[in-house]
Parts: sequence; structure tokens; C-alpha cells
Amino acid sequence: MSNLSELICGKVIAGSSGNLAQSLWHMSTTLSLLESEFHNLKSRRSAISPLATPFFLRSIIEVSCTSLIARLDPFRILTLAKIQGQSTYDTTQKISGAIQWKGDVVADRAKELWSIKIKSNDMTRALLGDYQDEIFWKPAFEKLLDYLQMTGKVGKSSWLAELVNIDITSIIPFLRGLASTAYSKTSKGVHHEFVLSISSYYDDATLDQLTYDVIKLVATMGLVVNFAENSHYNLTNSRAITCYKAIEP
Amino acid sequence: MNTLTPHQMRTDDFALILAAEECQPDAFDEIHKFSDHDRRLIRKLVAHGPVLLQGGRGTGKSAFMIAASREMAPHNPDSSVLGLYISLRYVPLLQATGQDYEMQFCTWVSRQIQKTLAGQSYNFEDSKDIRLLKNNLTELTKTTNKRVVLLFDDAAHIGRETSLASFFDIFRTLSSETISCKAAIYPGVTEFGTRFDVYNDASVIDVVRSPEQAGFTQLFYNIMTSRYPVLTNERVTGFTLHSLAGFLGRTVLGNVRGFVFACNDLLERAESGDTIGYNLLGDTLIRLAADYYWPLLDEVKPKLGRYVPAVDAAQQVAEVIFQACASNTSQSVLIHRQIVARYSKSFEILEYAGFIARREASRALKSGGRGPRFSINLCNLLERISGSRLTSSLFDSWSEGSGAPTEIHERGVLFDAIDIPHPNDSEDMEILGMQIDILEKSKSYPYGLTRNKINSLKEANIITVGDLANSSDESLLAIDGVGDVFLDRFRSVVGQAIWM
Repeated sequence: MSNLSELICGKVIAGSSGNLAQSLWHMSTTLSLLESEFHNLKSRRSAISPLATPFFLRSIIEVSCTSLIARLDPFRILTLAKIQGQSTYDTTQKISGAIQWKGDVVADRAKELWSIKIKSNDMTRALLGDYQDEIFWKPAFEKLLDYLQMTGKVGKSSWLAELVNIDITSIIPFLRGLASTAYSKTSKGVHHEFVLSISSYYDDATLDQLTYDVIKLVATMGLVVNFAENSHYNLTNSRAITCYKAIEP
Repeated sequence: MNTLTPHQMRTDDFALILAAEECQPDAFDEIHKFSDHDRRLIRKLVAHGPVLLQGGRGTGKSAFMIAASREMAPHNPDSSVLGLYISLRYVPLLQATGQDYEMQFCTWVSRQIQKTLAGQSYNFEDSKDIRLLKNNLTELTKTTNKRVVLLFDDAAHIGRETSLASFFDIFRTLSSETISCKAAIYPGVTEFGTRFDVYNDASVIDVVRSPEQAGFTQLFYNIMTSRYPVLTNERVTGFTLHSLAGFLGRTVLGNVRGFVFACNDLLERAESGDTIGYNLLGDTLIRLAADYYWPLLDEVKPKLGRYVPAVDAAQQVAEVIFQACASNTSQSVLIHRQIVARYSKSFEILEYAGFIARREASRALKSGGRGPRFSINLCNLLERISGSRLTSSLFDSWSEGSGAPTEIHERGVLFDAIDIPHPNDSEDMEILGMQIDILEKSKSYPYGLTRNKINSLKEANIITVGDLANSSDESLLAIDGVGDVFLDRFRSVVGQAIWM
């Protein structure tokens, strides 16, 4: 298990019997595999890089977000696992219950969060949506800041120094902006939208930056999740910080 | 007659360069040094995607942008990216809004692009509106087979909200799959117009140099030794040159311009034969507080449009903070967020001027509640410490940088005497109506003009700063004794006066 998969998928171990643990273990293995294949690709620095890098990066975003949804709000993943376990499950058919970027990760902004008229169906449970921001991200981020203040563990980490300079109310706009941009940029390479040479869009500088941004995004989300009181399989605070620092280049 | 050695000549030349955009291209790499952290930031400017580079005065935004442009074509012909550095500091006064702003801005930008591309094999047409500018840039990407990065330096300033909305509209509209915009902005720029979502339409990068970053001391040592080769270990006593560089970097909160001012002052003392020890260093810090930091507030005030009232409050806030920190011998201050919210523009001005640097956005106070923690510059702190003397133990303790912050809680009385500033109704800049005499070389205007040149301008009926800003090149060149060199000097000085 890599530092990134540990941070994202939490303290799950091979052979666990619970459904959630099994799903998280599967995603942890997938994430580690994606990382290692991606590093192999980068070390070769071949012409295939502009074609394959967006795919790897988008996959890392998707597996990470799905894992974090599983740890915060397991209902979605457990029900999806049930659907996928049915004999009627057909991979040639569109799965209505599949995890969607729009809806499960990002969502339209809520107009009035706590109106007495709002129905539970209208309360988005998107990972980076307004409700999760209020009930989970802000308290978890505050707990992280307090831990860093108490232990002085920011040290020489540029990523942590940047994090402690983000206001609690801005953490989700910050992550949402990073996530939307990274997802959109990587998707363009996966769907092959370009009718002009791909190398002018995915040049070395851009791919290098995109890689950096994606790893920073998912690592940061993973770090904060480990400080949430309502997430599953949390690492200890100290271990989460150690993993995060080890990921920072 | 004394003859300067080549080393001394280099030192003298480089000591005068306070802003990256004033530096001759040939000397740029020699005196601009970057840490690994800085290099990462420069790579982000070269990569595709919109970026807002945010930092106070003298933090090195221009240096980052120029360094990025030098990694791209035309400076680096092998690059697959065309980097066009456009300093908006010298743009003719843009007081227009809406379509007028767009026309003036696009015309000016297209001419700057033409200048950058002069001598290249491709043309860039005049562009009078955003549609034409974008078309011409897109055409440029096709003819060069390179994507384009536009680096807008000095793009956004506190107190210029009206034109800012137009600027960010253009920024957003120009961005495409092959065109990326990067813009340097100051802290305190909070108005981006209705169409621009700061988190979704750009990545915001804070230019932060803090002593906790890896390579901080080495970076300032490299700057010192490249700009001031006469400063050697033999010229210092009580500490090494390396530790002096780190200490000074920390003293000015990682601000490169403040660091250069400090080194210039040290150099003057060292040239008179003195060895640089604690006393001389302490004197430099005190002079920096008196001759650099406090005058900055006077310089900024007439440029701030509707936020002029926030400057007086900023001065009082600074006095409260430094006094409180001096009493507790701490190098940072934690202030309840509601106090910061009440004086928000004043805090932004202090950040801009380098009095304080925000290190944490939301830290818990012992007395309850949360607030930002700011590091404070140690020149103004030394000013407030009893005796204002830098001792070896103070040097060591400040170099280590440890210690709890001074806390200012909401129910305290320290801010009671400071009136909460309210913005003026008018955005007019006081500076434009001021007599050009204020542009004479002084502590506020270290780049300033000589008395002779100011008199020449007055004889040509150029009486106010606004007159000078609005004068055409032709009318200035018609003044006796003014050629291209002085024309550039006038533009540079008036640019400094008007822009932040």
C-alpha cells in the first residue's frame, strides 16, 4: 500500500470481511497500481506520455474521490456494490446508480442550506457539495489546523504551510476549484477532444504541473478526511501527516 | 581618484536595481536567484492554465513572471510555448470602463506583443477589441505552432475596482485551450467582477517566502553574494555571511526588495571601512524602519482611491501590533478574526507594504475564538524594543524564530482608539492632482527625478502627476534636454507613482 492509497483509503487491511473494507481494499490496491504504472510511464518519458498521462491522472482522481465518498458516506458505495453483485448486472448497460462526477463529487450550489422547507432529497450529498462542506469538511479542517498548531508539525512542508494559510470557509472552494480544473483538463485527454496536435496542449510543462496538481489535490482531500469524526478507517493524526509529507515532492 | 574594481562596479550597478522589470535582460539571470519552491511556481506560470500570482510589494512577482517568460519563446526558441510578458505598469492611464477600457487595453496589449515579437518571422496585427485580440492570438498559435502564455504584470491594484472588473472579464475571455493568462495581483484585490469566479477561473498562488521553507537562507545568501560580491565573511563579525543573509531575509519577511534596501544600507557602512557587527546591523534595521517601511505608507496613500482612510488606520494598527509584540518579545501576532474583519483593508495595506505577512489563516486563541497569525517585520519591531539595540542574544533568538505569538483578543482594548475606516465614495486618485514636485528623489520615491528635470517639466506646463501621466511621448520629447532615456525615466517614475 502506497502513502497515497493509505491516506485516501484509510486503515484497511487485506482479507477484511466487511463489505466497506473490501471495497476500500480493492480501491486501495487499484490506486497503488495506478501510481506504480504511472511512475513507470514517467520514468520512460516516451512519446506516449501525452496520451497516457491524462488517463492515469483522471483515474487517480476518480478512484480517490470514490474512496473518500466510501469513507464519508458509505451508503452510495455499499448500494453500488450490491447492484454490481447482482446476476442481472450487465456491463454493456448504463448503470444509473454509478458514481457520477456531477452529483456525487461536485453539485450545484445550494441556495438556502437550512431552510425548514428543504426536503432531504434536495440536500446534495456530493463529496465537495455545500452540505458536506458544512457538516464534514469545515469541522475536519479545523481539527487538522488545531492539530498542526498543537504539534508544530508544519515543519518545512510547503503544502502544509499553504494549507494553514487557507481560511476554514475557503477550504472547499479551494478544493472544488482544483478538482474541477484537474478533472476537466485530464478529461480532454481521455476523450480525445483535440482536433489539433495534442502536444501543443499537453506539453511537458503542462503535464508536469497537472500531475503535481492532481497528486496534491487528492492527497489534501485524503489528509482532511482522516481528521473527520464521521469518516471510516481513519489513520492516526500523526500517521496521516507523515503520509502527506511523504507524498509531497 | 578611487577606481572601482570590477566587483565593486557590479555591486554598484546591481544595488540600484530594485525591481525586476527595471533590470537589463543580460543581467537578469546573474542577480535573480530562485529556490526550489520558487522554481515550482515558475513552472506553473509556464504550464497551460490561468493563474493569479498574489503577493505584496517587492515579493518578487515580476521576477517570477520575467523568469517564466525567459523559459519560453521567443527568448528560448526551442520552447513549444510562446511567452509574452506584458507589464501593465507602463500602460497609459486606464480610467475608462466597459468598452472604452476594452479598446484601450486591447490596443495597448497588441502593441506590446508587436514589440516583443519584433525581429521574429511572424506578424501580429493591431487589435482594437477583445474578439480581434483573441483571433489574432489564436492565429499566432497556428503560425508559430506554439501555445501562448500572456503574463500580465502589475495587473490589479487595491482601490481600482471599476477597471478590475473589466480586466478580469478580458482575462477570462482570452483564456482558451491554446492561450493562458497569468496575472500578478496585490493582496487586497478582492473585487473580480460578476463574471469572474476566482477559484474556478484561475489558480491563485500566494508568493510566500517564509523562513520555514527549505532553502530560505540559502536563497538570500545567493542573492546577497550575486548582487554584493564585496560583502564577504571578512566584512562581518559575530556571525557568518550565510547567517546574516538568513537573518536579514527573515527580518524583511522574505521580501526581496526590503532585503536589497537592507543590503544597500549595510554596503554603505561597509564601504566606509566598518565591519558589520551587531551594532551596525541594528542601525541598518532601524534605518530601514524609518526610511523604508513607514514612508511606504505615505507613498501608497494618494494612490488608494476610495481606501485612503484605511491608511491612517493601518499606521495605528501597525503601531499597536509592534508595541504589543515588543512587550512580549514575540515575532508574530495572532489577532481575533473579528478585529481583522473590522480593519480588513488596513491589514491588507500592511501586508502589501511588508509590515506583516500572514502565515496562518485561522488559528485558535487561548482566550477563545480564532484568527489569522501574522509574522511581523523585525525592523519595526526593533524600533519598539527598549533601547532599540540588536544584541547577539536577540540576533540568535530571532534567527531561531521560535516562540509563541502575541495574542490580541476580541475583548481587549488595544484597538479601541482606532476608528474603523470607511471607504470614500469616490475612486479618484489623489496622486493625479498632486504637484509633480512630489516625484523628486526622496525616501518615498527612491527612483525619483532630479530638481532640474522637475523644473523642465514645469516650464513645459506639466504641473501635476496627472499632467505627466497623460502627456504624449511627442510632447515630452519636445522638452529641451529630454531624449529617449529621459522619456523612459519619466514613464518609469510616473508609473511607480500611480501604480502600487
